[in-house]
Amino acid sequence: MTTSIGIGFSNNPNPQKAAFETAQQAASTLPSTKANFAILFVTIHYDPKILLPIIADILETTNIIGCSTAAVISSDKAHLEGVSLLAVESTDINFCLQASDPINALNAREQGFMLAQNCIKDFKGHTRNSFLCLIDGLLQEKSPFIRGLQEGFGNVFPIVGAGSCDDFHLKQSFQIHNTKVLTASACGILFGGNSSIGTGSRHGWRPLGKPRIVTDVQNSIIKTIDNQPAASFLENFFDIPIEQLISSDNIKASILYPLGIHVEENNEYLLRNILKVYRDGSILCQGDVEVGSEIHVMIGNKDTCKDAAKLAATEAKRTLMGKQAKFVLLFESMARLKLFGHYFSEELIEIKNVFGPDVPIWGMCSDGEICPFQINERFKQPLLQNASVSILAIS
Amino acid sequence: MSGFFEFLSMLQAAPFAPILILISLVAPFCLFILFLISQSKTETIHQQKATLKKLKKSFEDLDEQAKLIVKTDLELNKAQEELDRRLHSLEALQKISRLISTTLDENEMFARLEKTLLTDIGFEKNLLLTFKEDGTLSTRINLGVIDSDAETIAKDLTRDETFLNDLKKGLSFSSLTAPQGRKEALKIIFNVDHFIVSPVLSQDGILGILFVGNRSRALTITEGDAEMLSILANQIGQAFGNAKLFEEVFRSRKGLENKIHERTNQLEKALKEVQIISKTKSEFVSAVSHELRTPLTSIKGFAAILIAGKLGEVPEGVKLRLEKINNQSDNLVKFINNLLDISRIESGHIEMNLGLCSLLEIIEATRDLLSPQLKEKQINWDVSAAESLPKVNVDRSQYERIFINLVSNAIKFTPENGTISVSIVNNDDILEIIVTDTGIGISQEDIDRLFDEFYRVENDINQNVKGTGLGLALVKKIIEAHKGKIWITSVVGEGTSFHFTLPLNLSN
Repeated sequence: MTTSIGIGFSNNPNPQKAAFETAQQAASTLPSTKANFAILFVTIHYDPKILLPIIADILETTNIIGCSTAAVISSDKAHLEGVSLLAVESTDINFCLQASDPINALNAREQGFMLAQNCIKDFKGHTRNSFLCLIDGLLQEKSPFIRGLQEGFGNVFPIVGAGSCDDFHLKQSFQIHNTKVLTASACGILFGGNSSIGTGSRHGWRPLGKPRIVTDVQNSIIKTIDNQPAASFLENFFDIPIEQLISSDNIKASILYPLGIHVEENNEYLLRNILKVYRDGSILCQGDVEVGSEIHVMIGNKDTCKDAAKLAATEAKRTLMGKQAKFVLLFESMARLKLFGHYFSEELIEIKNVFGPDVPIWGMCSDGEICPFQINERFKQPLLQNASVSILAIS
Repeated sequence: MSGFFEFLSMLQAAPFAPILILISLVAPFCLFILFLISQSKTETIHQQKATLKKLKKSFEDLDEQAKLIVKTDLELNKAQEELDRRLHSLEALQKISRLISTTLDENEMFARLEKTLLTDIGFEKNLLLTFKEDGTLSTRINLGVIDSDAETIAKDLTRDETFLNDLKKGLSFSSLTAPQGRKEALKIIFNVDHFIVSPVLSQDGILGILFVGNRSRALTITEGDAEMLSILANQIGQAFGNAKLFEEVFRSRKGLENKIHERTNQLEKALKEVQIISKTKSEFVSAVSHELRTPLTSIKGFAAILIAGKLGEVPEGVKLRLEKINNQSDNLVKFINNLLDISRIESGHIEMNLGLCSLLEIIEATRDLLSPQLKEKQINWDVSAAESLPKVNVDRSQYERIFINLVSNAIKFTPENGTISVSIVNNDDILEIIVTDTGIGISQEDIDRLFDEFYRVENDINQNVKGTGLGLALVKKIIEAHKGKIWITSVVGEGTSFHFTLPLNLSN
């Protein structure tokens, strides 16, 4: 009964060489040099269609899921350019890989439900313990899709995951399932068997200014706040003319100042990045918002974020129930990468200090994180979050 | 008042009179109570409204403060980012500077630079292009750019003369400050959003181009980055220039060393040949001298027997000729002995019979020996030496030959009533002996060859006086055999000085 992990990384600009180096490196630490499954994170500089056949060939498996990212995370730093692979050879972990068709606005929820059901069907009665979901970060329908997943797996079943993204241009992203490259889709892996999982998520942003009430909303598009066009609030708060908000990159500054939705029974606010401002004054958020939600502009700094990372890691370790983590899968928001800049490794050190120096930490910088969130006194429910660090520790 | 009593009397007359009377008495009181309650509620509402207004104002104030905080935070973030970058840059620069300035090997310098660009500077794409002799650019460091793309970039930049001319003037370009057209062109060439391009300049002009850039918007470029890269490019230029200079000097030194080595070999070879020839010559001279001396001894012996009349009286004319034969034989023996001595000294076969003796005694003995010639030309003789002159450890007979040769020469070339002086100076355990005459002097050309064997200065005196040309050669050999040196100073028409040295530690 063993689980072996192989991690590979390369930033060779030549995609063939990068794929070869990454897969070789990962395979070299596996006992049989073959993997049962692999997770692949790639920055947008590489064509996954070139990478996949080489990786599949070396690891002798097509059980690969992955996605594009703003940066790949190794134990000591975030690489803005590179290919990173986690290969697993295990007799303990049961798994099942699935992917959705391109997600559409009309039936995103059903598609999420179907994906969950397909996984359960393929899992053939094995014990399930978590689902890792990688979804296109540019999609507006992430929240209903995740709700569908929840309904498929059960409302409190742990779902952890991330939104795929690019190098902060927010223009393209892709997902990987087996040897296929998908867009506007979601893919995932259902874990089970003898392994245990621990999850933790925090952001470290704090509310600022007076609370406001969302008075009209359609899924992730907030139309009015305090009965005023939502954009006028931004215009007023950030002192940026609405025309500029609509047309320019200024809206990306909102990565640093997301909206925080107050959740009863939880000290942590649910964060939402603002993706777009429409001409009618409505704003597109990354994730659903409910009517009547009390929202704040949020602010964070390196210290509060480092503290949050430490709390998230501690929570993930605590929920492992005393078992030693084999590896730690990390989803860090792009906002945190932007905030920390060259000092991103400081946050990784906080996480490493919690799990110990021998536990490999591996992950990606994402556009939206999915992790169980304390919605009331008793339950955690997987929700799409922003600007957070989400941790999945597997024993 | 009368009305009220009238009203009461009317009630008293009505049915349920007591109840009606009670109501009429209580109602005004109740109304008054109600009025009081409503007054109190209105006051509370007013107070609450005022509180709400205050609260609203507090919220508005809070919001205004929040806006201010956001604005300040944005500025702080920007300043912090810039500061972080500058600190980071300074650290990186210091490290890079130390690394590249501690090597003069060009390849090692670029290897170190490549490593540190990767780990310390932190841009996605890094290129260092250097100019080749034909003016085209070639890639020296490439991090994050596909090789074929790097080649295309080098070609594109080589073609862009305006851009290259700007760089040659020392101008840097960045996505922050470049003119719009140039910015867009460079973005396309390098396939990045954020970039800095800086010329690598040395004292001799532009050596290459340093480029760093990011496609990701996670890390944008700041003014600090541009400054840092400009300094870095300068340092690379200096280090590169130094390395090139060192290589040139190294090559030149190597070439020189090779030439010297070659020349030394040639000279060594020539010296060996000369030594072989010299040895052969010495052996030949020695052999010939020995062969000559034996019959000469016989000739001289028979001549002496004949002169002595041991074989009978010889006529006066014959005797005179026999004496000439005897004299010439003596000269010949002397000449052969000199030759033999030179050849022995050269071959190291001569035995030096060292012993302590006084130089002044040797000089005096020389004067005695040559006093007839001195008197004949009425030459003044002068000897000067320090009083505490120590005894010296020399081969006395050989040293006498030095003085005899030098003083004889001096007499030969000093006119009547001239002066010959011998002085001895003690210079830090080296004695310098100087034999000076007031003779005709020697030209520099002759001085250079005066110690060569068989060399005789061409002048009237030498034409009339016979000599072998071996005397000074022998003197030099004897002095050198005593670890000394000999040299000449002379002024034509005024006189000549022969200087030679004798180390005292040899004598000690």
